[in-house]
Amino acid sequence: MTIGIDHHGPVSLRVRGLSVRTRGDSPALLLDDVDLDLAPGQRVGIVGHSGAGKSMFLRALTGFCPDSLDVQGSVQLIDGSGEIQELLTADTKQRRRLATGAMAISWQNALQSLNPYQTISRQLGATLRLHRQLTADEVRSASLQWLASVGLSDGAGLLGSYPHQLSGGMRQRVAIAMTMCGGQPIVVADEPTTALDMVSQAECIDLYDRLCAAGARSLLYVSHDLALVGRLCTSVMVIQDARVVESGSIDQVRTRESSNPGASTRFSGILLAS
Amino acid sequence: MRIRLMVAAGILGVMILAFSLPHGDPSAVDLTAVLQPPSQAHPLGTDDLGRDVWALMAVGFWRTLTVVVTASLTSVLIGVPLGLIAGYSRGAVNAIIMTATDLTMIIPTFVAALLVTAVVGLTPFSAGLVLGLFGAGTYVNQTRALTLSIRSYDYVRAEVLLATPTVQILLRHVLPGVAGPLMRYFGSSASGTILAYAGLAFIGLGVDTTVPDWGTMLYRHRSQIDHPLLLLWPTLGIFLLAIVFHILADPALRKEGQ
Repeated sequence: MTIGIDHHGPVSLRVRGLSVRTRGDSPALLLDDVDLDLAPGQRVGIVGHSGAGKSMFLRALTGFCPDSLDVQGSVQLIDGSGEIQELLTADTKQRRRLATGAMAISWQNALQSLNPYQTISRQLGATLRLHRQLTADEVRSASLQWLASVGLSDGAGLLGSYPHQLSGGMRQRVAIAMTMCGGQPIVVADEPTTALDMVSQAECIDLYDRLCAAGARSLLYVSHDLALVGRLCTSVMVIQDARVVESGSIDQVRTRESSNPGASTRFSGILLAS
Repeated sequence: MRIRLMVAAGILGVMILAFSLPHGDPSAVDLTAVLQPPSQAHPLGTDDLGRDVWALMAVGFWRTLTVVVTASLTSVLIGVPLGLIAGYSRGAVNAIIMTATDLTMIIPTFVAALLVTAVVGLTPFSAGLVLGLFGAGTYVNQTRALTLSIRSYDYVRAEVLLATPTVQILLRHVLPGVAGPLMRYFGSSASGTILAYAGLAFIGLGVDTTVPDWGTMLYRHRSQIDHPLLLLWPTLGIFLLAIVFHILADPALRKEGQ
């Protein structure tokens, strides 16, 4: 079955009852029954303290969980015509098609998400070729364009570099270019600016903002920095102790907090303050 | 550090060039010229049978080099692929490979080499093959440990999700990460092989005097302490070749030298 997801049309994401447990005789619950709806163009920030389950949620969602964990629930991609594709039960080929057609992912540590033994040119080129048939010249030209669009003006010099030869900020920009260059309608980012200084952080956030707006993409952005989430996202979901304790638009959360301060969670309280 | 590398490469280059030069027959006995000091006719002198020590050293060098190359290739070609498969596949395949590896590792390499060469004779190929086979276990263990670590990186997991064929993932994304750290071990194992082969020859397994080894030379001349040069040349050869491989294969040194 071919659905519009392959053509980078508008795609919604619907998550129901997503749970993650360790396998074995006494399984530990790492993520408990999480629901999420992400409409085309919507931006949702996922916040929570370290170890709350934010990254686990993204890994379960995208299929990046290690084999030692048991993922249950439903992750559905819904294209413009209303056709639904289940991601968790998809076979390998379907998953490849869905992953390249619908969702792009950027992880926390660019040094671990970029192959340290391949040049930027090779890695960016391979990502571009996943989506389109391109000649070598076209790949080079598109690579330079994308590097320029993330503020790396010396693209020609960077293409021959290895990840360890770049600064943290430059690596993260390259990772953003690789995330965005496929044109997938959903972008998933797991604390992509954590290891950066304040200036680089602000610049990377601007890039996400600009590139997502330009492609009308929806964004799932994990962070423990509530100010960043407030700046980039329209909705927020607070995860605490592996469960969702608060969700809604940022304004709704603020209103709920103001009207019922006794029910405030630690994070929504901080969000209100920020 | 660059100087150490250049010196090591220089020593190996000089040894290869020097021992490639034409030399006399190492088995030619001349009882009228025994225990001669170095001279123009015999650059390293003669032994107690009047044989040219330079010719003996040259033959020993190439035999030792054959052992190192055979043992290293055997260990790497068996150990690295098995380690990659065990680390990447885990499960039953991993259990089978690691059990077989443990079985080979509980037998000391030197003892295994001793038994096999005692039966089939000490040739550079037989010694290299046995030393390589029984040394492959360490390559399996090290490659497996590195593979387990690298396969958890996001760039490898992404390839799995993209349904990239496993062989391609292993060769393009895992092997380059394994190769660097393994090089360090490669140097010390090559040095160990040189010493093990010299040991096998020294304890008398290479007793064919027409095809001398450095270890055999040490064994033969061990009592001729009043002619120390006869002991010095093979000792120096073993020491230099072992240290040269150790330095050349050390990735830390190569990196600092860049």
